[in-house]
Parts: sequence; structure tokens; C-alpha cells
Amino acid sequence: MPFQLLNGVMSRHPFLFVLLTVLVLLAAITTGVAVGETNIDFTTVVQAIANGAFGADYPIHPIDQGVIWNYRLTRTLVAACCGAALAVTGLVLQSLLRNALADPYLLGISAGASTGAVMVTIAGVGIGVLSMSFGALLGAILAFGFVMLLSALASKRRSGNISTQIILAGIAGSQLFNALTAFVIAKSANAEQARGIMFWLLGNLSGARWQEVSVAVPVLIAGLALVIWHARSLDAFLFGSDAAASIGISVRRVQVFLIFGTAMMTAVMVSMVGAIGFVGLVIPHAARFIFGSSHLILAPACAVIGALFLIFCDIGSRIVIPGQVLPIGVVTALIGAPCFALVLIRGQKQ
Amino acid sequence: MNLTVSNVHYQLGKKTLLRDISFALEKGERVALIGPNGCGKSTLLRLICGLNKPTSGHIALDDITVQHYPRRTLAQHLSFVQQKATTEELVKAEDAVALGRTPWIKAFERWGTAHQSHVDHALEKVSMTHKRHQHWHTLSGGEQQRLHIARALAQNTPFIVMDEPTNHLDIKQQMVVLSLIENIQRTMLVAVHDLNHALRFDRIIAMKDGRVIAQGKPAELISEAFILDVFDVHSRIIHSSDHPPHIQLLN
Repeated sequence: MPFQLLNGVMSRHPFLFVLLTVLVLLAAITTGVAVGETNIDFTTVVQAIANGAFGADYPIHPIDQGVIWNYRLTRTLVAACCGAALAVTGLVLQSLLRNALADPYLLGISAGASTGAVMVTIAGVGIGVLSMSFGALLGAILAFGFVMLLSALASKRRSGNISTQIILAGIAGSQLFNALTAFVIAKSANAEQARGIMFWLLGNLSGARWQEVSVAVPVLIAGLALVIWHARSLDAFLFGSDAAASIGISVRRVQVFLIFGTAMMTAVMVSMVGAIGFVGLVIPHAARFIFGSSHLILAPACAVIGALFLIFCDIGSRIVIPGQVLPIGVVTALIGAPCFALVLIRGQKQ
Repeated sequence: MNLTVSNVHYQLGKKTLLRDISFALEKGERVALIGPNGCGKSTLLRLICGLNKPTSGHIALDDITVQHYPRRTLAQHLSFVQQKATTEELVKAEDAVALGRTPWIKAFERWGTAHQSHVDHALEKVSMTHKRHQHWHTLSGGEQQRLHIARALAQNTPFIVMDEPTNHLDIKQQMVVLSLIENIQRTMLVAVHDLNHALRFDRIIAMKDGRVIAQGKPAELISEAFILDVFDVHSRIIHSSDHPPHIQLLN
């Protein structure tokens, strides 16, 4: 089995494995930069990145340099960060809530973000002061707060397992904010605006510049560090929250820390690039099939697989239809669903 | 490790589940908790394990209230084997047992030989060493239950609480688990649903309608009248020279 071989190599030579992972990521990023409507050869890509990063002085056409450094590289980096963040968030929610269908948007984040975005762009709330991204971020945080408040009220008198309350509160919150979004669009948007919002909701990486990179990278690192720090606690949820408590986990504290931390990470990503679906639901399952159940391995594995997956989906979104960029959410599902089906079937055979 | 339960009441909504429960466990004692379904055995065990807070009264381990222990410290003193806990994750038998080391291992500590030897020893004790690499969902209910007990052993606590560990098991597995429990030298409080199993413990605490109605040594406590009183079932106790007494339930 190739997966067992992979696991074997990983446990015996962890440093080799980390090195390999970094190389694969670098190769993927370079590919993501090189492939596009007009392909750029790898040498030029590497030289342009060297020019931008280390002030090397390779003679490259300024337009190529600009396209590579300011557009494609930033887009690819943001794609990688979003993919990683969504996959890690999905992993955490699935483990904490012990629900295979949990995804990063379970807690109302995408619904809230879209409400925030339409409030700013269509209803004109705080126009000139708030950008669409900031509106989306506010909306996401607000919706998440609402869902958490609702689940806290719903589980006040209960002890032990509150995951059902959290999930139901998330559904209620999502529905409410989706309805608000639809209301605003129906009331005041023209067809062009409605199309724009739909496009954004399916994921749109075209606005990713260095400013976005400078937010996405630290947020991802902080979120991932939080999850790895709690990896053993996540392992302890294997047999449910009561079992976790009886092996010494402060269940509520861990739930609050991790849900809040990963939700904020997702909110930041969604506010920049829209609600890219599928990654957060499916990558954690794929990672479990390959790497087993230890979160110390699963968390970084999800981050890497999520990053790779979104980089390649982004490439796909740019080249499938010549001259047109597909919403990346469409590509993640189109590529992801068959891949996931394969993993599922192989997992069954094991 | 002493356990003291004093005047514990527990109320959920308007329903009172436990009333005025008081008893104590001495270090090294193995005590069976019996009573009909719904009498509050599981609820009481959850309070003792700190999973719920009593409405009034208090529960103390070595004279410190259970609620005052940090979660991790409590898990170093007390382990809990639930009635039935399962998972759909692809996890190996050995890894399920290794979870017992959670209260003893730090976030970034390497999994060392000391932890591994606790796990090896626990697997050995429940005779599951040969299946350590098998996945959880390929094991039988009895084997899964033995792994839960191994997890509690790997947790290496002086006090073990079990909630009907032989429930859902066939008779052979019940015997295996029971003799396993008899061979564990720790302070134990075990909810037991089969009275014949309860006879094998040092002491019995009997509950009914949320109260403790009697406690004592099995031989002194268990009588036909007592069983009728607690369980509302007629019975006959058969004594034989080469076997422990056996309770036969009559219609």
C-alpha cells in the first residue's frame, strides 16, 4: 500500500519528510505561478521570484516581473493559505463535534461573510469607510458570535456532549444570514451586482495581492500553531467528549479555544477570497484515510494537502475555459468530488 | 485513595435524580454498585468522575472536592470506563489504549519508552497484545471493552470507576471481563447489572429511586427478600460447596 509506505517513511525519517513536503510545496507554488492564460517558463518564474524576494538582478521584462511577482505569486500564496486554513478548520470541527459532515462554514461564517459583503457593496452600509473584505469579516464574526451565543443558550442546562446544539445553532444562524443576504440582493441589487456577489461567494482569488498575503500567512501560522498545540487534546475526543474529559481534557476550554481560533482564521480567509467550498469538508477525510488518527500528524498534513489542492484547483480555474476564470469553488468541487470518491473506495478496501 | 460521597443531591430540570447519597470507599476496596435501570447508578458515577456537578452535597477524593481538581490532575487519580464508547475513526487498538497516557504527557512531549511500557503492560493485562495493530472497528464488543479497560490501566490511576463494563457482551466475554476486573489491584467502583457478578466484589452498594438503600458485604447483604425489595423480582440463592453462591431468578 502506498499510504503505508508513506507513513513508514514519515515515522522513520521525519526530517526527510518535512524537507520533501517543503520541496513539493515550492514546486506546486512555482507551477501555480508558471501556468496560466499565458504560460511562463520555470526559469523566468524562479528568476522573477529571486528578483522580488532577494533583489537578484536577473534581466526579465518588467511586465513579466510584474505579472509574476505582483499577481500570480500572491494569488498562489493566498490560495495555498486558504486551502490550508480551510482544511485545518474542517479537521478541527469534525474531530471536536465528532461529525463527519462538519465543515468550516458550519458555524455561519460564510453566511455571515456574504451578508457583510452585500451590506457594504449593495446596501451601501459604511460605504467609503468599509471595504467589501472588511464588511465580510465583520459579518462573519457577527454571525459566528450569534451562532455561539445561540449554542451556549441551547446547551446551558445540559452537560457533556453539546455538539448537537452547536451544529443546530450553526444551521439556524446560517439560514438566518443567508436569508438576510438574499433579502438585500432581492431588494436592491441589479443583475450585474447579483452576479458579482455569486461569483465572490463561490470563491474569487483575483484580488489577492501582497497585502492579502501579509494577512493570510500570519493568520494561517497562528491558527495552525494553535491546532498543533492542542493536537493531543483533539486525539482525546476520539471516543467523545465525556471520554475526553475523563482522560484529563478540559472539554469546554478546548472547544472554545479551538472553535474560536479556527473560526477567526476562516473568517479572515473568507473575507479575502469568498467562501470556497469543499476543501474544508473533504481534505480532512482524505488526510485521515492516508495518515490515520493522530492530530499531531493530521493537522500539518491537512494544511499541506489543503494548500496543494487549492493551488492546483486555482490553476484549473484559470486554464479550463480559455480566456475566462472559473470561480474556484466550482473547480474544487469538480476536481474534489471524484478524487474524494476514489479515496473513499480505496479506504473501504483497506 | 479514599472516596467520600456526602449528602449528594442531583437535580436535572425539575427531576431529582439523586437524593441524599452518602457512602465512602476505602483504599483498595472493590465495590459493586447495583440497582434497577434508571435508579441513578450512571448519574452517580458521572458526578464522581466530575462530568457533572452535584446540585448539593459534595464528593471528595482524598479529602479534596472532585470539582476542585484541575481536569488533568483528576484524570491522574481517577479513570472512567464508560458503558459503551465507540468511534468511527480508523484507529488501531494500541492507539486507543495510548489515549490513557493523555493526562501524563505534555503537548509536545515525545512519546517515550515509559509511556509505551504502560501501554504494553495494559494490553498484556487484558490479553490483547496480539491484536494491538488491528483497527478498532474490526474488533468484537468484548475486545473493545477490554481495550477500554486497558486504556484505564494505562492511565495508571489509583482509582477506577466503571459503568456496567459487561453490558452488551456475551456470557464468555462477561466472564473474561469480570475476572479481569478481579485481577486489577486498584480501588474500584463498578456499576454492575448482573447480581451474580456483584457477589464477586468486596462490598455492594444498592440503589433504588435515586437513593442508596443498603450497603454491605455480599454474603451479608444479598438475600431473597433483599432482591425482591430492590429489583421487585423473586429469586432463590443456591449455595454449593465448590462454587460461590448463585442467584437464580424466578418468574
